[in-house]
Amino acid sequence: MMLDPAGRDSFETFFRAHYPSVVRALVVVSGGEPEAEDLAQEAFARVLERWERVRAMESPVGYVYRTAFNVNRNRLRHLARSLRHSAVPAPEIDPATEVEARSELRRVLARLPASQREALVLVEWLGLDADEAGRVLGIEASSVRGRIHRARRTINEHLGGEDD
Amino acid sequence: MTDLRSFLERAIGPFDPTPDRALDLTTRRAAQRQRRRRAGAAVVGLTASLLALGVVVWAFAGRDGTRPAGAQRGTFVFIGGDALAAENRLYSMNADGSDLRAIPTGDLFLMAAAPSPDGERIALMASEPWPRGDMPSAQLFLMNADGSDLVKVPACRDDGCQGTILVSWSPDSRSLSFPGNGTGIYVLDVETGTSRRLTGGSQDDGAVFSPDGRRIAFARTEPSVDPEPNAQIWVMDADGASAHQLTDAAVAHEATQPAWSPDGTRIAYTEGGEPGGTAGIAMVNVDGSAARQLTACTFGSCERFPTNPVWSPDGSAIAVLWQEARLTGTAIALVDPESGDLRIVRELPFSASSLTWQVGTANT
Repeated sequence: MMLDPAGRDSFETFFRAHYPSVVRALVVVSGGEPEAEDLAQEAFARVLERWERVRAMESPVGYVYRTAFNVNRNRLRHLARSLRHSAVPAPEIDPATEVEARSELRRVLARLPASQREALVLVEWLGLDADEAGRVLGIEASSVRGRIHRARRTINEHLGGEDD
Repeated sequence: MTDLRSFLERAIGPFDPTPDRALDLTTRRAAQRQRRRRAGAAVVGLTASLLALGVVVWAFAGRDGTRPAGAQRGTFVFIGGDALAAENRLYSMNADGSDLRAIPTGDLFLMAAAPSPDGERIALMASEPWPRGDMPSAQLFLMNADGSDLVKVPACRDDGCQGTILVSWSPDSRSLSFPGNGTGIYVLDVETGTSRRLTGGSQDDGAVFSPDGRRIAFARTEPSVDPEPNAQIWVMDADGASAHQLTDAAVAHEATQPAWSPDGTRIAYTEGGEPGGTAGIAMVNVDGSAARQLTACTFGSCERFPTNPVWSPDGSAIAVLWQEARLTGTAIALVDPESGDLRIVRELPFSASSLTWQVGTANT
């Protein structure tokens, strides 16, 4: 983390510009505000460690999201292992629902697999197209579109909207 | 059809995180991650160190903007780090300023480093982590050029070698000069592990072998002669015989860090200067003639000053550490041994020391 003053300034500018939006988006992925802030700070910390490299990337903020998603997947795996080894029966759905759902919308979101929530964040929140989102997630664009389609269908089913 | 963006906005609600405190927390978290990695490196050894240091290498991989072109060959090796904190690393860099990379050294705090002329090994004067409140203990270490097989050489006392902590190799890569207990120059036979004292009684340091290995140049301070510290450059045979002063104390002031030209005819050194005089890089012929200052700035008012001269393998340039006065940064620069012109090879965002210039193959 040996950044020169210019490097530190550019990271701070980047952080201030994107942190609020990243945290809000990560609420979708993690299920709650504290988890989202924790994820975002961990992701930005990892970005800071390699800022000179990340800043030269085509989409530094995409790298932040990818890092946050990876951290979140590890968190979920850890939670799942903990639950398997505890007396508490594992929930049937994503551990993100452990966080008290703050609204009906959040409960709907919590029913989506993490992979679909990640695709939603990238495409619907960040505005990436399927190709760009696929590069962030390491999957084909068609898979991104499939995840968005299934997410939309689930949301519509629970909110009474129409499928596309 | 559900507007997914709107749906997400409503699901998230009015939550509006502020970046001010989060930036502080994130910076602390990155520092904690760095410390944890260092601790892990101590446990799992050099493999973990390589991973941790890779981050640093990445951090600098794209810093091409301040790098002027250069025709010089070979590799610089030097220590870089915050001068005010006990954190530093060993770096190598091509002589044209490209490919700055870290060389793993475990959790050692580095004080001096010298790659062997055959390119096989690196000698380090360094301290292992020390208890809070104690002082670091300078010990001698050897490792392969890639940082592997780091071993401590039992050449110093338990409380460490004393005096100016420097180390340099003989041209055949079989002997090392090191500071010993601070009252002389010691030479270690690397194969046998035995060391002997070549000089004693005076404050001698900065010993460097001549290119043919027959002589040693060093800096000597003689308080009995001059009550004010005023180191001068001396030369002696490699066995310690025939020591004689090379620089003139009437001209040179605080002359330290001697560096032999590749043809063995000249010695460049750092002129510390005195009030009312100048400081910079100076040079003298090995017979003591033609002493002259190559770079100069007014003593006490130098915004930057050059230290640690080392010659290019072909003798066409002298590399120096072009230090910022506040020790917040360093450039590696080249000084023309004829004109004294200085040009920067690369700016570094940290203080650097212990510069060497290797003939060997550049980083790839």
